[in-house]
Amino acid sequence: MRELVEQARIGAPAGAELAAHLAACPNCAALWDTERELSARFRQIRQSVSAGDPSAGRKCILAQFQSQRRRTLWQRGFAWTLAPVAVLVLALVLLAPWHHPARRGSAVPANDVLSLSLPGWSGAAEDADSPEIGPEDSAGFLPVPFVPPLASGEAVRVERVELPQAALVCMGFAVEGVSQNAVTAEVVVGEDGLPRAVRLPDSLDMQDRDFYFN
Amino acid sequence: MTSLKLRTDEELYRRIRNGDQESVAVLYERHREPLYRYALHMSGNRSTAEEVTQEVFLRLIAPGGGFDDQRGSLEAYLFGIARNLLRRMRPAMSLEQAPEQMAEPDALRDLLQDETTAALYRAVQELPDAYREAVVLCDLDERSYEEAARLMDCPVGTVRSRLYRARALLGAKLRKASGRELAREQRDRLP
Repeated sequence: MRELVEQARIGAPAGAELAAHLAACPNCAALWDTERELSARFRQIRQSVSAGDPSAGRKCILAQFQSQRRRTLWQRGFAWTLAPVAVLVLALVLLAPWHHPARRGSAVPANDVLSLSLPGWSGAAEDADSPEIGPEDSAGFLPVPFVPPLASGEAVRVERVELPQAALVCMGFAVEGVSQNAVTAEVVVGEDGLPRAVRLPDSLDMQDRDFYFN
Repeated sequence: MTSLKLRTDEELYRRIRNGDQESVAVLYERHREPLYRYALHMSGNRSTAEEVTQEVFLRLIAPGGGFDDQRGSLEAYLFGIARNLLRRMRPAMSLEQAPEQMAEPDALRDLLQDETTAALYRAVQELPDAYREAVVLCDLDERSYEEAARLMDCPVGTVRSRLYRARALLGAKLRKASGRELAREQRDRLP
């Protein structure tokens, strides 16, 4: 049956064998006629179709292609220009001194470590939120003189540094037998980067932990 | 331009990706008519066919076009875009078109003077998508089963059976239409 349809579809003439069968079988003859007619009418439809003038469509496609191409080139050029600038800005940001978490100590709220205000410092007495804490109740930290007091709630960080013994003397520590040797000290640094207090490890041979103000 | 015409679709596509405008023109010339005919017969509407044909090429040249020659031919890719666009447009068309327009596809209204042929064309439009696609590609575009299978992305046997069933449906409608025409002719002949 499918062979019959196929032959009718392609418009092939019925061979002798098929013709004999069609003469004897009215159903197949009707199918053959229908299929032949279908093919003829499809041919008629094919001939009626015209795709029209392609020039307008082509012009539109080419114009679109050109504009996309221009846009792509511009974007590529812009990206190439922008890339070094972006790298430069990124490098500046990353290398900036304020962006070095590794160099910074751990930032902790001042209240967690200590709140210091130095007796005699003008700003300290006026700031009611900054409690005055003496050396004995500040976890062993001794306030550094001549620096403004910490603001209330100001975050401080504690940094372990190597200090020359002479610096300890400058900060008011009484050190016997000052040498060129450096000692390890923990320094409380305020948000402004100024040291506020110093703690010396127990191992340091200190004569006196008292401090004084000039 | 002449040497470009000898190049394969896939080569032209690669040139398009590198910004070659002439390759766009060659591909357009090569595929515009088959795509238009396909869209016309699948939608039964000239303006839809024009719109779909144009859109297919716009998508082809769009930056980051999704054609991958490992997955099939460029022609199959273009027909795939057209098929998807037509599927997407079909519900919208049904809502926008008046019922009489839907019943009477405008595509060949002026050209098909023969009432039976016009009825047959309407019947083609009413076929299920898969059957219609087989008829459109094999009978109205005269493509081989192999070509149709490649464009429809299905086995050759599927194309054959779809076409066979579609022709059976159309044959029944054709006989009905021919019978009506015959009856009308006989009626007209009566004094």
